[in-house]
Amino acid sequence: MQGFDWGTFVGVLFTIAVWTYLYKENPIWRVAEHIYIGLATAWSIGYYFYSYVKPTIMDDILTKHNWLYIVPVILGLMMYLRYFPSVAWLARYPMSFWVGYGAGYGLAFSFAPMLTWIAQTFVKLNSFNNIVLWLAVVTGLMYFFFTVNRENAVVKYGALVGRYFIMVGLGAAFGNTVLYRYNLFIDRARYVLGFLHLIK
Amino acid sequence: MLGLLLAADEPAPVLGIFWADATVAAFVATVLFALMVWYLIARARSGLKIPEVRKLPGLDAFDEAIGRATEMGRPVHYSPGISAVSSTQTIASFGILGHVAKLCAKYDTRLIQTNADITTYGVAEEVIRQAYLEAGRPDAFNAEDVRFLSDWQFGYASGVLGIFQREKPAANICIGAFWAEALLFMEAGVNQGMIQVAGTANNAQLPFFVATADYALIAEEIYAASAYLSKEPVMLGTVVAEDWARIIVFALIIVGTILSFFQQKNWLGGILKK
Repeated sequence: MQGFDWGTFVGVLFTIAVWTYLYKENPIWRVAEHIYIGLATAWSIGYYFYSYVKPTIMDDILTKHNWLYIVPVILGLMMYLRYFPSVAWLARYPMSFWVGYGAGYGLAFSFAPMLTWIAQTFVKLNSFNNIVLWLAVVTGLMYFFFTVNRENAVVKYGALVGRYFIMVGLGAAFGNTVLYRYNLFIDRARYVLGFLHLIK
Repeated sequence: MLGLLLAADEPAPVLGIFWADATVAAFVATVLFALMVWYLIARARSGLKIPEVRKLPGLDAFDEAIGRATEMGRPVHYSPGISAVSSTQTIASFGILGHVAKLCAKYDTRLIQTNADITTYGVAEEVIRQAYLEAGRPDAFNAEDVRFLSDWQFGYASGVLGIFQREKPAANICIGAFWAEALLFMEAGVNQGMIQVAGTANNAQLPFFVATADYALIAEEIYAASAYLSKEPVMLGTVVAEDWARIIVFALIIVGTILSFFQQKNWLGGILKK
């Protein structure tokens, strides 16, 4: 068996095992599922330990004496306090910090690109493309008015037109993504068939 | 803001010490929006009237889905997507999760909640525990049904598909940030005959939810739904502020388009465009 590509063999075996799900749930699929989840979780633990935990503690704190790095380490450790009922409430602090960071970051960096998009809709309504673009943006916006009374005819019919524009957009995105998925499948099928020497 | 807009002139709009370009406009817009959010949250918290968020047609779908699961004596599956708890979509998802968990507690229906991120796992457990407590059923809460599967996208997806096959939920609710796993979940749900309610603000995945779910919440609707269902002042204030921002954007587009009709170089566009 010298020269046999064991790595590809295992890859092909698991690919076929996962494809058996297309027939129905079965023990072969279940074995593949559990090995995959187990491997993924184990890999993540190793990755996070060697990429973040160890370098932060050993290099940044103990070697370079960046003492501020202790703060995220403490926040991280606090997340485990949820397993100790008497102090479980302390685990909410790192979560709150993380949620606040997410909301703040989102707010701070959303407006610059958004203003550019707004400016790009300032078009002269002198061509079919421009009119469609402008109408799609304006009516699409109206669809997402949540506090404006929908009994107002302009908003009501504007939102209706917006809904159709949104559906057209989603349809185009659907086709695009399905095509991409076919590409992924073809690539995987080539991997399997190539290993079995059924194609060159 | 108005001063900056009026002072603007191509190519370098200046007003006194203010440099009215895209960076300044973005900064002003951020501050303005933050003030609107703060004002509306403060009003909502103190019980003062703020504009009402209209009820979305898909919101009754949660009751319907959980009702069906209750009738069939089978569980409900809930996924908040695969983003961390810092994602705004995940935060919105937790508002809806609280409502779903409360309904499940009320009807004594098992809720299986799965996570692909360790931070959402912790928060989801808290949200569900609190919901069961508020429903007067703390004893019915089962921590084993709040599960962390894997932080690998497809590891998580295969875990969820396994749960679909083995534990046979009657309803599948997916609200949050989803990527390629979205269609895997929904297709498996359709094959199992589940009633499915889904929503995301990820444009590439929205078409799959719209095509396969019984009810789909489109983009911003997940934030409005979360605010409407949770009645949380912070969420309500934020959604109303977002709506005001949308109205301002709407007005800007109208004004900008009119200016484009009359001017060769649109000064408003010059300020906003980076």
